[in-house]
Amino acid sequence: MTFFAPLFFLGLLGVALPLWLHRMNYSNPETRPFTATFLLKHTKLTAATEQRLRYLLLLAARLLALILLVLLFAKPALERDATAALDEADRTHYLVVDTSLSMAAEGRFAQAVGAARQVLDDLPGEARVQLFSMGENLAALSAVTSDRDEIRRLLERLEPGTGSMDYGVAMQQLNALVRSANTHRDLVLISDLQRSNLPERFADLVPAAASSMQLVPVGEEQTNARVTATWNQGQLAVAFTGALPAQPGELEIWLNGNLLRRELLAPGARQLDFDLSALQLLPGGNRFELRWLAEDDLAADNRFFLAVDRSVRQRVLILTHRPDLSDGLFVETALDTLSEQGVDLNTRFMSDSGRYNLADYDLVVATDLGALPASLRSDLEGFVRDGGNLLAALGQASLSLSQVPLSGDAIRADGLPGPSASRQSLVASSTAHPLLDNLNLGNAISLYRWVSLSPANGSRVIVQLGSGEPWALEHRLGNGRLLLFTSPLDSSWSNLPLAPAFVPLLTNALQWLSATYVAPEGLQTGSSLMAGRSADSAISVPLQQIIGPSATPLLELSQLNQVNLVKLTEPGVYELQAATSSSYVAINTPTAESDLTPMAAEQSSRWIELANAAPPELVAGMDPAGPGSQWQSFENWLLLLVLLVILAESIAANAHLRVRRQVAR
Amino acid sequence: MNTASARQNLLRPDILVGLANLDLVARAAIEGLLVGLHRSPSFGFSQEFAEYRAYQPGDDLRFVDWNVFARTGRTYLKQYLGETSTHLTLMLDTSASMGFATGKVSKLACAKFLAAALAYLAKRQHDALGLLVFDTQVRDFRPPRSAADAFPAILHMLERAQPQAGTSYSHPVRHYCQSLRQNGILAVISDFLDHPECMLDELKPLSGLGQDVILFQVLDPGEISLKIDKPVRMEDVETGLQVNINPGDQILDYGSSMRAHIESVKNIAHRTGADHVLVDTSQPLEKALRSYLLHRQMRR
Repeated sequence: MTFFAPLFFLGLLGVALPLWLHRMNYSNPETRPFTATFLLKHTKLTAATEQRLRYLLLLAARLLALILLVLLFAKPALERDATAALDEADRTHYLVVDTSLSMAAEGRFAQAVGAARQVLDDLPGEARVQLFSMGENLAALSAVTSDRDEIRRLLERLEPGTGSMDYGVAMQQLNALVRSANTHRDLVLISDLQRSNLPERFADLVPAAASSMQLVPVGEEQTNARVTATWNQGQLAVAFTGALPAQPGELEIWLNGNLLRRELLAPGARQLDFDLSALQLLPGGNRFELRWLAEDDLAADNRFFLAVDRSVRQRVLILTHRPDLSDGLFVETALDTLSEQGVDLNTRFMSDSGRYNLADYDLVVATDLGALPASLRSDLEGFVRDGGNLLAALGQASLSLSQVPLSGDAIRADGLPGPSASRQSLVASSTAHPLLDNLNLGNAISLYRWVSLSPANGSRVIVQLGSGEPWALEHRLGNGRLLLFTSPLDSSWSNLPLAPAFVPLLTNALQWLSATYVAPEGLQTGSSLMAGRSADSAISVPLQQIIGPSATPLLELSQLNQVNLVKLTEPGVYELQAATSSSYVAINTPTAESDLTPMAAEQSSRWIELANAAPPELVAGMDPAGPGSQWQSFENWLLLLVLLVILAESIAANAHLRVRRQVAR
Repeated sequence: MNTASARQNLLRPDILVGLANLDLVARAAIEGLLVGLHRSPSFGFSQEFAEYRAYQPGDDLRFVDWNVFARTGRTYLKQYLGETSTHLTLMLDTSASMGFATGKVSKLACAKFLAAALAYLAKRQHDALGLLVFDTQVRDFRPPRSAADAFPAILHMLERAQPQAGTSYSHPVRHYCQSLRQNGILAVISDFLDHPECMLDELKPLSGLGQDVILFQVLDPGEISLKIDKPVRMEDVETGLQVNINPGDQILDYGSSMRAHIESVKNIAHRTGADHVLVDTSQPLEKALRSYLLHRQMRR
């Protein structure tokens, strides 16, 4: 017998309550000797012993009702007779075949398919089977079927993939997939049981939805090594990890599809450095591929891809008006963190119009739009209308204006709140806006002065103050865009530059305004990226298309006008196309799959033990003691018993109270 | 307070209970009664000669007219108008309910005082005196005798009596009927707290015996009117039955029920040719004793 919710046994402490109450009332009322009791016609005469018995019966009924309720909440279940044969109609066999990259090791997958066939052959003829593959995800390859041939055909077509999967995640996905199946669930997992794919918590390995589990290990302990590389300012560092083969073989370095170098490796060499600083890389993305020609058991991880982006750098002009340049200091510092990602900064006084040409820049940052000289104002408008982007703030100089230059937003007469005005925090108006991507405004930002605006038509408020006034506004002007802040981007009116969100805010602003995309690093096969266009203008997806390693667009025409989650399954260099630029990202095989060491025997046996001993987890929509479970619930009978005991308790209490009602009216 | 009123106080059971023994109780009670009666001729003991009667075994030799014996050689007794002797049998209920008391005097104590006083009266009138002590069965019995030791013997029996067990009238009544030799007075002293139908059946044999029967119903004032000021559980001293009662309507119900019950006992007395005298243990015994004397007078 087991209990699915044993913590409810704490409810037994409640038994003390009726005991206490009954003890309290034990001596009430006072008993007096009397003679003419037969004349008390309207009262029920009760023998003392009878009444005492009834009192004890009431107490017992109350205690029993409480105990039964606690038992009911604890969800008891009896173990089914293990010897009783289950009807095959009540069984479902889930056959899970590991298709992760490690299964591509020499002979492993063939062995797995053979084991799967053997499992199928051993099942009774009417057995119901469902086939799953466990690669990047746990995927159902078939419906639950008794057609053994169909399963065999699917097995024939099954191949190891390039993905990796944590066994704990796989068990959770299995639980999600089969939770609605209210039958006895036999899980057969055919895998190489890699140690590197064990979850952090061993308890995660329990297949909560399975009634029983069988592990079929395949593959023997094999040796494997992996090649990786990093690029830094023309220096290519290549590393070899794992068990190096006896014959180290050769390493080929390919650049953009051309063999660049070939090196014969020395035995035992684990690192090689190449000085490629003299190499003339192509503008934009450059695709490095390392091919290690070695004889080890897993060939898939002997290739490594590297994307070296030499894209055209973003040029940003910061226009300040204070003599000490302090108004642009924080912006310059924040954007300078992006210099390694292709951002060139130039800071100039607004009045030095002869020393810069707006057409040379992708983005202009104006620290106070109100301080713009009249001539620069018209130049900037032309710059934006021609497709340039302007990030501008309003400061002290803007207070003298009635209208924001370029955007046309009206500045209120009482535009500057007095010193007594309460400080304001920032609230996102449009959370889906790219400016706010991965940005937590929180309460850390506090503004004590700002320029009050009435947004003009066409202006869109992205962030507002706590009082509801606009703080960040987007305005389209011709082919370009203006992002306007109603307070300076320095510390004169707020603590914004000191807040953690400042740099991400400017980074987002730069990426959004320049329509560039900074590719993430360290992606592995199985990673996903969002790409496409959203019909909702409020949702901006930076990537519009992804070009695969074989120069094939991953999004079809029909998919371009919707948001897609694109899974990158093939190792290689992908081109990520944003609105006005492209970037490159390298996808390599999962590191965990390169370690072919199986988990220890005690770990696998412990897994089996846990899976077969633990009662099925209580998941919504699934009866833990359903017909397919090894546990037999008797909650219905217990519930009936509780009702009967409560009924008996009511009758006993009523009989007891009937006498007592005559006492205390 | 003059001597007469002081002596009348001796009829109060709560005063009699302080006296050392039943002999003293009886004498005190009767002296108090007689003072109250002012020795009225109606209840007096006349010395007027009535007749001679031949001696019979058991007669008190003190009443033999020795002059006639000397002259005629025969034994005759002189009888006077006020001293026509009779038999008095006291039937005392000693069931557990008789031990009930809400004051100083239990019903049994009061009943003993009454019985002793009646015995003393009988002694003074030279009546034969007997006692039957019972509860569910006959516990003690002494047939009526006019011997000199009858009175002390009766007092001794009374002092021995203790409240116990339940009540049944059938056994003592049958026992009394079987031992009956001569007409007389039967004084049944009990609380008669039983179902009237049962009591009627059990006491019915007393009718038609030619006996003067007086039913002294001894009740505690706490039985006559129930006084409770808080919820209590009453436990029957004889049966152990319990009942919960509370102040209010039930007391009114009980009062009317008790009145109806007393009427039922009166009715039983009437149907068995007996008289009914209610004795409240908180009241002087005067009423009960007067009632007896009235009966005694009627038998002259």
